[in-house]
Parts: sequence; structure tokens; C-alpha cells
Amino acid sequence: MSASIHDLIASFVQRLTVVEIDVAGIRFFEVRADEIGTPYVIRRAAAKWSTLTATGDEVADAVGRVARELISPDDPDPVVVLHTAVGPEQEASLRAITAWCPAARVAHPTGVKAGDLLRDLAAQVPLRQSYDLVVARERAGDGRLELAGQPLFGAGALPGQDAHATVTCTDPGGMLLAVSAWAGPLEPSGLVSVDHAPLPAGRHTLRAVLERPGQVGFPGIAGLRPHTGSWAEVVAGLPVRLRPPSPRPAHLICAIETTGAQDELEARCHWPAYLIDLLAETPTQFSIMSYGTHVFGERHPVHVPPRVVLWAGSAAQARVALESLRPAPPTYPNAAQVEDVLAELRGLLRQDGARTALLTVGARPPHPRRVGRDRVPPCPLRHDWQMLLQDLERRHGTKCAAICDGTSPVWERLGSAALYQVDAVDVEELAARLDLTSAGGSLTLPFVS
Amino acid sequence: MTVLPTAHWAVLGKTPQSLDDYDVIGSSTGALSKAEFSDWLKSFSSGTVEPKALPRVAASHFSRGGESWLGLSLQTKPESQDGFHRPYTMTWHVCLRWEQVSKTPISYRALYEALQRKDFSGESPFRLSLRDYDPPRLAGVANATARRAAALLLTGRPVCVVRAELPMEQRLDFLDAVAALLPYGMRSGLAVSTWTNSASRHRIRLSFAEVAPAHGAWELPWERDVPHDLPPEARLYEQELAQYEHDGLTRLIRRLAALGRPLDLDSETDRAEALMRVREHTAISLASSVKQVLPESLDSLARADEVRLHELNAHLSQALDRVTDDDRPAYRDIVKRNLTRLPDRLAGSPTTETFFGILLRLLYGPALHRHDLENLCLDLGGLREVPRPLARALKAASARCDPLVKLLITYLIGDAGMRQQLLSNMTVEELLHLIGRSRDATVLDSVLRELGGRGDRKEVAQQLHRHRYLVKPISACLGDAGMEHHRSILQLSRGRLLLPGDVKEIFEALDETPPQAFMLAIVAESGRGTGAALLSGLTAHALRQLGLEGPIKREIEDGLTRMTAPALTRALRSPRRLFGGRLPATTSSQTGRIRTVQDSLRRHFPTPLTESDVEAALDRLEHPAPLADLLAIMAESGPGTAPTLIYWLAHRAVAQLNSRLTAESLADIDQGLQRMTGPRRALPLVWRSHRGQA
Amino acid sequence: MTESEPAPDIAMWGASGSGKTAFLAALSIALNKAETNWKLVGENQASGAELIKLRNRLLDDRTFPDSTESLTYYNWLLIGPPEYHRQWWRPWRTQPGRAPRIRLDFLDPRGGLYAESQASVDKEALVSSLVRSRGLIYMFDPDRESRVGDAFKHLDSALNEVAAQMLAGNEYADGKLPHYIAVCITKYDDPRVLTLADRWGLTEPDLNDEMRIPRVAEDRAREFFHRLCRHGRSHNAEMIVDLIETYFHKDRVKFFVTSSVGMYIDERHRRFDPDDFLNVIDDPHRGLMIRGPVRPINVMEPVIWLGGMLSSRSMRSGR
Repeated sequence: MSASIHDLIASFVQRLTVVEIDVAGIRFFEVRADEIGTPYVIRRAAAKWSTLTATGDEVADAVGRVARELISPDDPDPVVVLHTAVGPEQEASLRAITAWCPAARVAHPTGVKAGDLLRDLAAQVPLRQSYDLVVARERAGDGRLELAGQPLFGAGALPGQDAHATVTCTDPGGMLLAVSAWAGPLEPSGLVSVDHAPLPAGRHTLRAVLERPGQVGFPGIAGLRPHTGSWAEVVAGLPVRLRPPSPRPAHLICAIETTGAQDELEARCHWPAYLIDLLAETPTQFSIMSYGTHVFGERHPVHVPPRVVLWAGSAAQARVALESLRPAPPTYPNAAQVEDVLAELRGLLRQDGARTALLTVGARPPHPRRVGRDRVPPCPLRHDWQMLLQDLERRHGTKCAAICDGTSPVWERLGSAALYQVDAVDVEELAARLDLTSAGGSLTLPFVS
Repeated sequence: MTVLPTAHWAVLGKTPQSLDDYDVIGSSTGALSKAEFSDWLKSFSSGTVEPKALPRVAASHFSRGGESWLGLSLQTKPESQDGFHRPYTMTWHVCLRWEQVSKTPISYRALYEALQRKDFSGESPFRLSLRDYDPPRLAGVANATARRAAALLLTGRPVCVVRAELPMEQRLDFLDAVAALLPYGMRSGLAVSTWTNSASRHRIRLSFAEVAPAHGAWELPWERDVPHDLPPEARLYEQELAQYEHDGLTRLIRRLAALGRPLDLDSETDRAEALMRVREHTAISLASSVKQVLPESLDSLARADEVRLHELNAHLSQALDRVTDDDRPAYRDIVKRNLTRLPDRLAGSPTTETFFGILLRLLYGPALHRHDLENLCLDLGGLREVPRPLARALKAASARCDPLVKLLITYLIGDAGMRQQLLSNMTVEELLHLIGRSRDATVLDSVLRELGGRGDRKEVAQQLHRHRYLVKPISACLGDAGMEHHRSILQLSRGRLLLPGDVKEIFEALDETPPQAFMLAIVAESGRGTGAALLSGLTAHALRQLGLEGPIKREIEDGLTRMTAPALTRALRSPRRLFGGRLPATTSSQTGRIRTVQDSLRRHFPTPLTESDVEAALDRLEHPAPLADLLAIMAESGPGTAPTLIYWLAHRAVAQLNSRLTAESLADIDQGLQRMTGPRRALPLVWRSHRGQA
Repeated sequence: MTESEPAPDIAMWGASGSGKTAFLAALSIALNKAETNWKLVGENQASGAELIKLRNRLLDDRTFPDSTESLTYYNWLLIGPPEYHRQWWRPWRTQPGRAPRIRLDFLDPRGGLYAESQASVDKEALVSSLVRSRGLIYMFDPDRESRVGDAFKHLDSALNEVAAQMLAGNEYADGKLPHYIAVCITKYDDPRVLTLADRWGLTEPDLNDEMRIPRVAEDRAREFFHRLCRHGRSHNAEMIVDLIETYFHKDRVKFFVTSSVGMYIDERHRRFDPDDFLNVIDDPHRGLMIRGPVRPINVMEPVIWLGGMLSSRSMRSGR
């Protein structure tokens, strides 16, 4: 009998109705599942025989009226009648229920209280939804932190099962262990629990035990206590990335296209200046380079190399250098000598262990190595910007960001670490992505790499 | 900025990066469709652009459904490229209905400036605030090249101005100026452009270009007087325009701007109208300028301002050839009112003489006529006498006049020597002509004097005969007082008393019944036995005058024969009545009258009538005696009655001319009568009693 | 004015932007470069001025002519080197003879005119000039065809009108138009065109050319044209070759792969560089700019071919 009710609890769709008819009276119970699939029991109605007939009705009529109210005979979910005592009221009640709901299963157990039975059984059913531990990890492309689920228990897991997860605690104050349930493969349905685990920073292998549906315990973590704050705040407080372990000296190179009008140049210099100000207190050196467009159509090639306005100077010098830039009219409209900047950098950069970052600000993409369908002539010096960029990244670990006021797809590559349009720049983010600053607060969630 | 017409508009161009051809990419709605705008703008393209052509302004015209439009477009320098990387231009076009434009003249420049202030968006037509048409400004721009361009357009061929290095606005002003030198209505069919490409096929009539197109267009170099072999229509127009400068040109432009009727440069008639209109204006303006200058000249004359008079003379003399007879009364009026005296200081000045010479031509035209001289006396009456400069001017002017006027001028200026010279240089024929035309006693006297002095009497006689003895001129000029002149003529023609043959000849030469004065003159000059000739001459004229023919004429002639026959034949007298019987009535009422009188005579008198019967019959005639009645008496008269009739006729004539005849004349008439009819009988002449009153 | 125009001997045909005027501009440069001693002169003042303007545009301004806005006439004269005659009695001396002359009465229409459906004065003049001409230069712009794809429409509508006027009578009993037609594939210098020729294996370096500029051999130009048509944006383009060969005698059609400005050659190496031959680059201020020297490819050849064909034909027919 218990087994079949156990199965029914594990498999009902909306609700399981259980009618208990005993010596004292009649009680209607329902078993339902909450949003994360955990079953729970509620008593919908209860009456003593004496009160049922107080109005003068026949018992059967009274029971039938209650049954019609509480039970829908078309429900796909089963109706179970636990008939534990014999008597005219009981028989009349049973008749009334079976008359209303002919599919009702009738059992005659002895010595059980339906409420207790149902509660016990509900704690033993397998999980309806899978449970994950909520962790933070770095996004593949850019290293930004994002939330992810570390699977703990799949759907169907039985209470008593345990699972292990290895995570890193990045905050010396411990971390929050949040378990979320997933109704489907894509959609978290809700949080199962959020507990604060006062663990030291470092890697930990956690053992999680499914105590019963809706309850996951982390035995072995002393001092675990439920988190009392709002989960939304936890999510909002997720830092962009993990704090770098220790600041190393850095070198920011700003390459700025000076072609165009004065206001265009000012717009291009605005963000580098902001960035330099932001980094003024950090151990960062600054270099400013300016470049323009190639000259074509002259009988004898005219080559003006990019200008190194400042090399490895201070923030103040960098600001002065930026101020000194003057606009130049374009000599070619569709590309600029970005590739020459890269070639120049190859000669200038030394392998001194400093982190290097290149911020290119311009409107025009580099010249290709060879003429293509877009009809941009190749770089007169035949520099191959892609090779040069790869070389910089490989030899110096240079992080490349770009602020462009053009639309060429080439910018995706030039701004592989961060790419902004000139009118929509998040400088803090830019600095962080170039690895020049750590990004904000500590991580309170387990980190997986 | 008073004019605010509603303009429609279109924009011809491309959109950035488009792969399409030029087309109308925006336009106002409601009047012309996009397709129509496109049609218009493409068919009046100024040709392929080149950098120096832009910005380019062009004006053109379009008609649809009987409605004409005038449009102006501005083509601007490329700012964008199409999908083929080709820079493209934009053409901003505004247009107005011709009906609107013709009411208030609008310059291309004004349209251009209004266009520049407009925003070509949406779909509604907009109002243009246009600067007023500005003739002084246009006149300032109209240089020799503009005049020639306007003239060349009248050949019907396009004109290309080359070698002009001018900014666009100046080129536009030039186009405006050329158009302003033509009747405004010509803008309705004139397409102009500040720059055309001559290799392109275009329909622009007037433009600037690098070179002229290969076929059919005039190449006009900017401000260079290249001698052109201009066709007459262009040459005449250019000559006409050449007379105008400054204010005069402004006035001409103003006048041309008022000529809003559409004119087509393709039509020869319309092109000819341009010349006609300008000439018309020239005439009007000259006339009015004379009206302004003449009082000033007269004033200078009065103030003895010789220098100013000299200047004004030059001005007036320009107008001389163009003044029409209609203008002269006004000038005469001015002179009549303003010419009062001639300062002595100017009396001997050649400038004054020139002025009077001009004045004579202004007032009376190139040649003076007789009536002009009469007017002259009236118009220059303020001078009281003919001053020397005027006399000299008149003398000079007389060279262009006919002999009569010349002669009259000699009287006017009192130059007898000149007069004598004039007359003595004339042939007899000319002199007689002069009398024929003059109807002036003074002239007549002078001529008769001259004729009297001529040696060749025979010629004089012949000519007088040919000139019908000047009966008509003399009687026209002197009327009843002309008898003595008639006599002079008769004396000149014969140099003796008239013989019957002379009288006959004289009457034959006359073409109508002579006036009484002439008859008396004949009487006075007649010799013996001329009575019959006189009567028959008179009768012949009377018959002719009354148009009598047939039996009645014969009866009268028979009567005349009887009358002039000797009185002896009186015995043949017999009562005609017995033969009785009426002749068939004729259609002539005169005949009827004669017949009635004849009947009446026959009832009262036995016929033919005797001398006393004739006398009695004549006395019974009503006064004045109808010719028919006289003829009736003649028809019934018997032999020897002629003297009675002659005396009666002479008596009647003398009575009529009574007051005009001198005693000597009367005596001569009397003697003449005696000679004519013989001394048989003397009439108690009534006139003697009136002699003292004459 | 049209009535008094002499009949154009050679008319041009091609869509807007297909490079008709640029072709004309390149013609005199081509003649100079080829050292053939042929020269081009204007027959009248306007045409002469235009010739100089067009040439200066390419050589001095280094830009292309503006797009033709209205029907433009060029009356030019192509004057060849005098032919030298040897006299049999003095074979060691030559006598200069008469220089051959080919009249080039070009009619350059704005490209869109051919496609305009409604009748207009210009279009009538254009069609009548095509009817009167006996030589045609048909410009096919592969770039335009790949982007707009209207070559068939243009050709078809114009041919229809010309054929309707010429073939209605009995004068041309064989049902073909009497013209000689030089079909010129333009903009060979454009990487998008050269790359296709290269990819299709139609190019070969000219061994007589020290710069080794890859050429499409004369006998493969038709194939190139055919493949370009198939490559075009419109399905109809495939039918262009058929259309041409239906209307014209096949032996009077010749295909040329042309470029008005030619390839860019780096002066330092003086060799064609497949990585860097772009001669027409975007100009920062206005449109397109010619980067290096102008070396027209197959610009003179179609004209001389047509001139030769027309003069020999006129000698035969006494025209």
C-alpha cells in the first residue's frame, strides 16, 4: 500500500488526492509539488461524523457535496481512499465518493494516519528536477565572470545520495553555497537553498548530500548557516572578473589616428585621456603614437611613418602628448597605416615582463597585405597587420583594445580584448579588460576555472 | 521683397551609394508629376558638367496641358558619391506658372536668391520671396556683349559667350541683362545657363561655354568687339539698343519688362516684334525727351546761355529724324508759350541759327510747306519780327522747299533780291504753276510782273492758254476782285484788244462757265465785233453746264444764230405758236424748265422776240436769273437781239461786282461793250450812280 | 540641329557608369603610348576642346570624367602614319604617301537613356544615330552587372528599337543588323574583374610585355564575356551573348577585354605585382583617383578594328 502511494507521489502531474475515512470522521488531503519540484502535503477538508449530520443531511449527501467541491472526476491524477474503519457513515461516505469518482482507488490499511504517512513518503521520493551548485566562472572569450551551474543531483536522484564539487573560494570570508533547481536543461526554476560557508580561500572539494527533496546538506562544513541576504544582490554584486593576484608593471600604448577634422581627433583623444587619468595611480607606463593615411598616386612613393609622440612616459607626459596631436587631412579615405603602427611597435617593444596593452583609436582599418575585392590598395611597405598583431600577442602577451569610429569588421580583431564605438566607451571596463586594473569587489560565490 | 508667388519644386539627383541614374528624387505635388519634372529637367540639361561649370544656374521652360511654366535650377557641386564611386551633383529646381510670372516681371537672379533660401523637403509647394525686378541694376550689367547677345538671339540661333572668366553670379546677371534687353515675354521660351558643354546636345539658347557648339550657335567672345558679319535683324536691333545708355537704358528695360505676352524665339514674327517694340519705345522716348529738352533750350535762348544751347542743340538734333507729325503740335505749343524774345547777344550767333534750324525741323518737319509758314507766323509770333538767325535758318531751310514756299519765305524774311532771283530763274511754266498753287495776290502780282517782263510773248501766250488763263487761281484767290488780274492775263496773252477769234479761243480753253469777273475782263479787253463770240462762248458753257443735248440744244443754238444775225432779218418774224405742238418731253428737268419758259414767252410775245421783247423778257426774270430761263429767251430771240442780251449780262455782272470795280474799270467795260456790240445803242448803265461808293 | 549632323560612324553603347567617356578619354592616350604614330584630333572646335579636356582629366586631374548628363557628340579624326611608297626606279628612297584617316563620330549618351521607356527627343536622336552608324562599341561593365544586373535590359530594349527601324524593310534581307560591333569588357583593372579572369584560368602574361601584365588572349575574350554574364546578378545576363549574335553577324562581333587606365605598376620594380595592381583608388575628396600612370589596355584596338572594318567595307560598298 505505502509503495503504491510512494509511486503515486513521485509521478503525479498536478496533485494527488487522498481521502481518509476512519472511525472519527472523513479528511481530504492533497499532495502537490512546489516550483522546484518538491512535494508537499496539505489537508483540504476534515469533518467528524457528528458535525456532518448536524444539519440533518444524510452523511452521503454531505460527503458527496464536499467531494464534488474538492475533487474533479476528470482529473488525470489519481484519487486514493484510505478506508480504515467500518460503519454506516463510513460506508455511506465511501459510496458517495466512489459514486462521484468511480476511478478512485480504495485501500483498507490499518493503523496508519494518512497525514503522517503522506509526509513520510514525500520526503523519500526521487527528485523531480536536477540540482546544481551555483558557481562563477570566466567566460571563454574575454574572461568576464559569469554564473554557471555545477551539477550536484540529477532528476531522479534519491534522498541520501551525495555528490562532490570542487570549487575555489576566492574570498577569505568564505562563500555562498547556493543550490538551484533546473526544470529543464536551459532554465533554472528556482533556488533550493543558499547557505554561507565560512571556508578559507582556496580550493575545496565539497560534499553535498541530498537530504530529501528540497534540502541539500553540506556535511563537513562547520558553521554553515543559511544566507539571509537577497539573492538578487548576490547576482548584482558579481564582479566583472577576479581580482588579479598581484599587480605587475604595465605598459599602455595608445595609437591614435589623427586623420580628419579637429573635432574628430578630439573625440578620439577623449577616451585615452580618460583611461590615462584612471591609471595614473597604477604602476603603468604610457606611450602615445599617432598615425595617418598613406599617400598614393605620387610618382615617387611618399612614406610618412607613424609618429612616436611619447614612449614609456608618465601619465602627465601622456596627457601632454595627447594634447600635442594635430589633425591631418586624409590622403586616402578607406584605410589608415595601422599596420605601420604594429610594425613600429614590433621594433620598439622589449621583453621586460611588463604587461603590454595596445589601444588603437581610429576610423579606418589597416591596409591589407594584398589588394582584394574591397579595392583597398595594400600597404606600400607590405606590412601584414594580422601577422604583426599575432606576433605582438605571442611575444609580449599584448592585450589589444580598439575604439573605432568606423564600421570595418577588421576592428573585431584589433579590439580582441575590448571593442567600443567612439561614442560608447566604458573606460573602467576597458581598463579591466586590458588587464590594467582589477575589476571591483570580491567574489562571494564558488569559483570554478 | 514684395512678390510672394507660390512655386513648385523638384530635386534632381541621386541618393548616396545608389546605383540608379539621375532622377527626380523629391518634388512638390499638386501641379507637375515626378515624371513631368524629370522630363523637363532632363530635356533642358546644360550638358555634362565639368568642375568649372559648378555651381550652375539654368532657366528653362515647360508646358503641359496648355499651361506654361518658367523654371530655374541650381546645380551644386558634388558632395556625395553614388554606388559607383562617382560624385554626383544635385539640381534644385523651382518653377512658377508663366501666367504668374508674366504679371510681375521676375529676374533670374531674384529666383536664384529665393531658391537658395528654400528647404526642399516635404511635398508642399512653397512661397518664394522675390526681390523686385530691378531695371537700373540690369541696365548697369548690360554691356556691349549683352546687347550683341540680345541682338544675335533675334536671329533665332543659340548664342554662346566664350572667353569669359567670371564668377557664376556675374554670369547669371549677364544672362538676366540679355533677357532684359528683349521683351519680357521672350523669357517664356528662352532657356539660359551659366555654363554649357558644347559637345553636349542641349537646348539652351544663351549660355557661357568654353567654345561654341559645332553647329548653328553664335560664338560671342566676352567684351571683345570682334567684327561680326551680323545679319540685318541682329544689326538693326543692336543699332537700336546702341542708342540707350544709363537712365535711357533703364527706361527701355522697364518698358520691355512690361511686354509680358509670350513670344517665341523660334518664330520670325515674334522676333520681328522685338525690334518693332524697341523702335516704338525709341519713338516714344525721343518724343518725350524733346518735350523735356525744348523748354530748356528756349530758356537758354532767353537767358542767352549759348553754351547750354549748344549742348541742347546736339541733343535735339538726335531726335530730329524720329519725331513724328503727331508730336509736332505739342512742340509748337511749347514754342508758342515759351519763345518771347531773342536777346541781342545771340542775334548773330551761329548757335542760335542752328537752334532755329533744328526748331524749324522739329516743328514742321524736314520740308516747310505753305501752311507751315502760316503756322510759323503764329508759333513764333512772340518774336514780333523775324530775327536774323531765324531768317538765315529759313533761308537755309528754303533749299528743301518747293518754289512757292521759297517765294513765300522771301516775303516772310523780306528779301526782295532773293525773290527776284528766284522768280527770274523760273520758266514761264513754273511761274504759272506757282500762281496755280499760290492763290495769293502778292505772289500773283509778283509773278505777273515777272511774266510781264519776259520777252517771249508767244511762249507766255501759249502757256497762259494751257493754263486756262489762270481763271480759276485768280478767281479763287481774288474772287470778284480779280477782274483787273484777269485783264492783265488777257493782255499778257494777246498784247492787244481781243478779236472775235481770240474770244472764241479763250472760251474754248476754259473748262467751265467763267466767273463774272472774267467775263467782264473779256468785255473790257474786247475789240470790235466780238459780241457774237462772247455770247456763243457763254452759251456753249451754259449748254454744257446744264447738260443740254438734242433738239433743245439746237433750238438754243438756232436762237443764238438769230440773235447775232443783223437786225434786218427781223421781217422773218412769225408766230411760232401756229406751228404749235409740243416736242416730246425730255428727261432733263432743265429742258422742262426751258420749255415752260419758252411756252410762257410765246404766250406773251410774238416770236421770234424783238430787241424790246428780249429786254422786256429779261427784265421779267426772277433774280438771280436761272441759266435755263436765259437759254429759253435765247431760243426764242430774233435777229439782232444779241447786243441786248450782252448788255443785260454785263449789266448784271457789273451789278454783282459793283463794289469791286474801280471807275476806270467800269469805263473800260463800257468801252468794251461799245466795241463788242457797236455804238448803236447805249444802255443806261446803272453802275455809274454807284461809282462814288466803290 | 540633328538634321544637319553628319551620320555618326561609330556609336557607343553601354549602361550608366560603364566607362564610355573614360574610354574615349583614354583613346588618345592609348594612341600616344602605343607609338603607332596614330593621332586623334577634333574635327571641330567643340570636339577638339572636349578631347583635350577629357585627356587632361585622366592625365592631370587623375580623375575620371563626370557622368555624361546629356547626349554628347564627339567628332574626331583618327589620323594614321603616312604610308611610304617605294618607287621602283629608286627603291632606296621612300616617298611619304597619304595618311589614312578614320572618322570617329562618337555619340556619348547618358547611360540611363537606353533604358528609358518613354520616348524623348534625346532618345530618338540616339536610336537614329545607332541606325545610321555602322560601327558600335558596346561597353559591358562586369562590376555594374554583378551589382545592378541591367545589361540585358539595356541591350534588349535598344536593340529592339534599332531592329524595328532597320529590319522592317527589305534592305537587310538576312535579318541581321549591318553593324560591326566591338564588345568591350571594361574595368579589367578592377581586382574584382581581374581576379575572376585569373580564377577562371583565362589570363596569361604577355611575354612581349616587360611588365608581364596578365592579359586575356584575344581568342578567349568571348569566353570571358560569356562567363562574366553568367556570373552576373541577373539570370537574363546569360542571354546577352545570344542576343548579340542573334542581331549581328557573328563575324562582325569582336570581344575585347579593356581597361581605360590599366594596371598600377610600381615604378621601382616595373613589374606587374598581383598583390598591388590597383590603379583606381578612392580619393579622399571626390570619387575615384587614378593612382599611377595611365596605361590603357585594348582601348585603341577596338576603334582601329572598327575603323579598319568600316573603311574596307565602305570601299567595297562605295559608301
